Amino acid sequence: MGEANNNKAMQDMEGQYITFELGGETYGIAILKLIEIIGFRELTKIPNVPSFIKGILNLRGAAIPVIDLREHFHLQNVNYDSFTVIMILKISARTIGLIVDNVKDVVAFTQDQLRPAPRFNSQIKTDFIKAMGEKDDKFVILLDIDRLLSDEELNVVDGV
Amino acid sequence: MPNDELIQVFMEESEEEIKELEAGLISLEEDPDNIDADNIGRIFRSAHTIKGSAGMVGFEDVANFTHNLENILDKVRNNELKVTKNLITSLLEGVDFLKGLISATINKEDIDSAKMQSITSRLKRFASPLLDEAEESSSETKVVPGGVKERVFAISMRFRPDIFMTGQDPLMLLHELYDMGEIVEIYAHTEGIPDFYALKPTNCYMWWEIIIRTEQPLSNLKNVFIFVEDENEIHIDDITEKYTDGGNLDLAEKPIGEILVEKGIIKEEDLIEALREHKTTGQQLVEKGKAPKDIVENVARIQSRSRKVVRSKTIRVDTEKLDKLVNLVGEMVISVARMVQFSTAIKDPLLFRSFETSSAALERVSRELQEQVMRVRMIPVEGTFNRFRRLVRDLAFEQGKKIELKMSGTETELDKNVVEQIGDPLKHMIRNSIDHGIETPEERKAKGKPETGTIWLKAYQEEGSIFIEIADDGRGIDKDRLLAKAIEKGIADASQQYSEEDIFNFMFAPGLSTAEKVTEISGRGVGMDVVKKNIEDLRGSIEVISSKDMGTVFRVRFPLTLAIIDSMTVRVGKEVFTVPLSVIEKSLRPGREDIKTVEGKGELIDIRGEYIPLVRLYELFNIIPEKTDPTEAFVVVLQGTASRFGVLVDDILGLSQAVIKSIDKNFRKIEGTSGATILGNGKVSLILDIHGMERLAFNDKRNIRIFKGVV
Amino acid sequence: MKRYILVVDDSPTLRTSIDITLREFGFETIEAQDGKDGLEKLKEAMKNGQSIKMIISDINMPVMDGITFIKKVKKTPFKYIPILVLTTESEEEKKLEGKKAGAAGWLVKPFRPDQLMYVIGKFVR
Repeated sequence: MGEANNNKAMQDMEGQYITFELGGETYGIAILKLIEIIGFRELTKIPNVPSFIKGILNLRGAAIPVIDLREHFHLQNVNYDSFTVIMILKISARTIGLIVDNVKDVVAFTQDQLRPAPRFNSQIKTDFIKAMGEKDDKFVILLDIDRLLSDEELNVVDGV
Repeated sequence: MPNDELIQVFMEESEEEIKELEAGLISLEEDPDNIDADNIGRIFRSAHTIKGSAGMVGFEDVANFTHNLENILDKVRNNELKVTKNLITSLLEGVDFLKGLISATINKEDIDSAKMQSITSRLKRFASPLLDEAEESSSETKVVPGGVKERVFAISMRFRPDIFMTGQDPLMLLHELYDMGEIVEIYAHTEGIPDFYALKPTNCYMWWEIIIRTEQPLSNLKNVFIFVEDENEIHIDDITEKYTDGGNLDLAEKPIGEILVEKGIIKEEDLIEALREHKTTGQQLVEKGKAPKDIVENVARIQSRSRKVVRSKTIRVDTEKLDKLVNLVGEMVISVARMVQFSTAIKDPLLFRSFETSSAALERVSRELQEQVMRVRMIPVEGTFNRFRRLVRDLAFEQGKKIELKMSGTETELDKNVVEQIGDPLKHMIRNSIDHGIETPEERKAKGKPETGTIWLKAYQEEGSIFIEIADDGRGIDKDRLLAKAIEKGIADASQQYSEEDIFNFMFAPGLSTAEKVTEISGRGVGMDVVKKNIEDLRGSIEVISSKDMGTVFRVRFPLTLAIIDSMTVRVGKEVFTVPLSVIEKSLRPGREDIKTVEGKGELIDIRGEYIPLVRLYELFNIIPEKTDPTEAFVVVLQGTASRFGVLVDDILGLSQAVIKSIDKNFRKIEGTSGATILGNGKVSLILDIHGMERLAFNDKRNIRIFKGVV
Repeated sequence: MKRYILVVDDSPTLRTSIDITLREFGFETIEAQDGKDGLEKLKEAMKNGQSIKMIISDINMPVMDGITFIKKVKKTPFKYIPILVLTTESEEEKKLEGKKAGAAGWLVKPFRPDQLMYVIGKFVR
């Protein structure tokens, strides 16, 4: 039964992922969540929020909050450069920007290339990981972006 | 495909039922003249059950075949068919075939369709001996109606009060109607709802009138009501022809004067003259004796009916789309204004002239476009106003007062957000008028006033603003008592002289309530200060006028457009903030002697003899500033609900118009700000919110240090 | 809080197929094989504090038929529970009888799970 559930879960995760690099590791986000990718630009700071919330940017007249995944994962900070990009994602009703090192390719994963998220020793909280994708001997950490940036996640900072 | 569990159950059940069938048929055969009703009933039910069950598991062949057996047994049961040896033989043959058919179907084997066909036709001949097969099959082809045309039906549904007890629910019928076509108009009659005290929560007091446009025939509509039609009043009329006749679409859009000219009732000159005046055209023409009153009224009536038809031709638009449109247009207006400023840089006089002409046109068109787009977001206050009828009636009843509520200008339109959020503050003011304004009938009589008090709820547009007034003819505000109370609560200073306006404004100070006793409904800890705050949050303002024994008027004013504010941009470090001009009292560069630090009160600044708190924006928002010495920087003085305070900023950049964007849609509310706007350089600037800043600076313990700082 | 639906039908196949569908949509079914059994099950449910949201009943049943069952239910405190009658296309007149007895709706057998849930959805949130 557990096996069957797993297969079903893996089957649901089949599809195309946009992959990007962050501190040497490759991550993927379901391509359907992606609206567009823009170059890094200066942001307006938001007062009194944790540092991983980098500020607000103007995307064709809409004010969009931008988050640095690296800081969120407690990876080492780097300076933003000309390779740094912002991925604009649609997460439920929200539009949010995500700063990443550089965007690589769109990779399609089939059921047999997907593994359940391992409980490995990482600084990353594993509940954000929905699966591991393996292709051409390379691993891609597939993120559950909805969970990563849930309401809770954004509102947790209220108490700061 | 049905699951295994279900097939297993069906297999066992059909075996049982077939046994029953066989046994029953055999005993029927033994004594064909003496039909036992119980026996035949049992046999019939067995066939019936097998048919139903086979249908449920999706064995259509089995169900269809069993239907033939059931049909014959039904006729036997009703004495329409005589039991003969022949009949029983055929039935038993049918049952035998059925057994094989069921097992073949379950095991997914081929079925003997030729045999099935022959047995079926034999059984059919028993059931309807006069019908030969050819006829029967032709009778099965349905008559297809020519073309499907949309029709319009008027439905009225009135229910017996205890409809809910019958397990029915009008809502369910409405849902069903919604599924059948387009509901063009729907009106719920609520007049029948009794006073709260007489209301039985299990009763249905409402009735409905509906106009539906549908491709469905009348019979299908009737089917919706099959369970309720007997005991409830349901009327369905086909009004397809009438409906289109009901309104002339051309008429609806035309000014009434034009219609009258076209109809030859008045001359064009009369119309032009009438248009110069400000009253409505119809009224003018009647007053001047140019057109007979009854004709004008009649035309107006037809016109309003036509408008109703037109109104039903509306489309629903997602408010999000509208907001986007409003934002974009606002953006455009500002860009145009900015562009026009550049024109001064044009040196060539000829070029300048033509640029100026075309940019003026562009400016005008964009302004107009903006106004029209804003208008789309506006809805009448009627719905919100109507909610208060009940409130007034109930409160008056409870307090033994006689009160009439009069409304005017309910068609006045306001931004949707305001209309939705104005309800609570208005409710509070109305309660205030009932609780503290309107006297008891005895008291009014003694004062020589009519026993019934009046509360007016008015909405109107004037000078680019929209006003809502809540007025009563009650006892008015007792100035002396209000002042005494304000002094007692430490809001007012006993040694100072106050104007009437100042005293009335104490009403809106936090922690002041003039109510002698807290009534059940009014004053649940909510004071007029909250009312004022709510209105200011909607970018409105409030004033109060009152006169002893004459009554009190609360006047609420809203700007016509809400999405754009006049603002000042200020800079702190690298960040640029936008401050609404409506809350700015002044801005200044203080002198060294103007700044004082008072133990326990923090940093204060002297504004013409009055010391007010000084808030350092960079501390409030944790930003690295360029200047920390107030004498080198600027102070913007803000006037809030309860307080006045100065905000220290590095620099004042200028005045501008800001299009407000919400951030909480994509993020969450940022404390101390009320949204964001896009600056000329494309960067986002946060809009400061005076109430949020007050909270951050004065309520939050974490920020107390601000007021304990050293100058 | 579990939501119960009472299914009264003499055919186990019918009951099972309804049960399978209802379970999938988060309802619990209580099964009864005829009207008399249905009334017993209602009493039992009341004793056990189970809240029955709806009754689905066949018309043609041994011991106590559906019409009698509905009439009886309507005289008990359970009268507010909406009742759905199951008929076959050959039982047009039963629809009216059921309706007169107090049924709130009907469903023609055979039906698909989605049809069943559509009708239930009209009465139960």
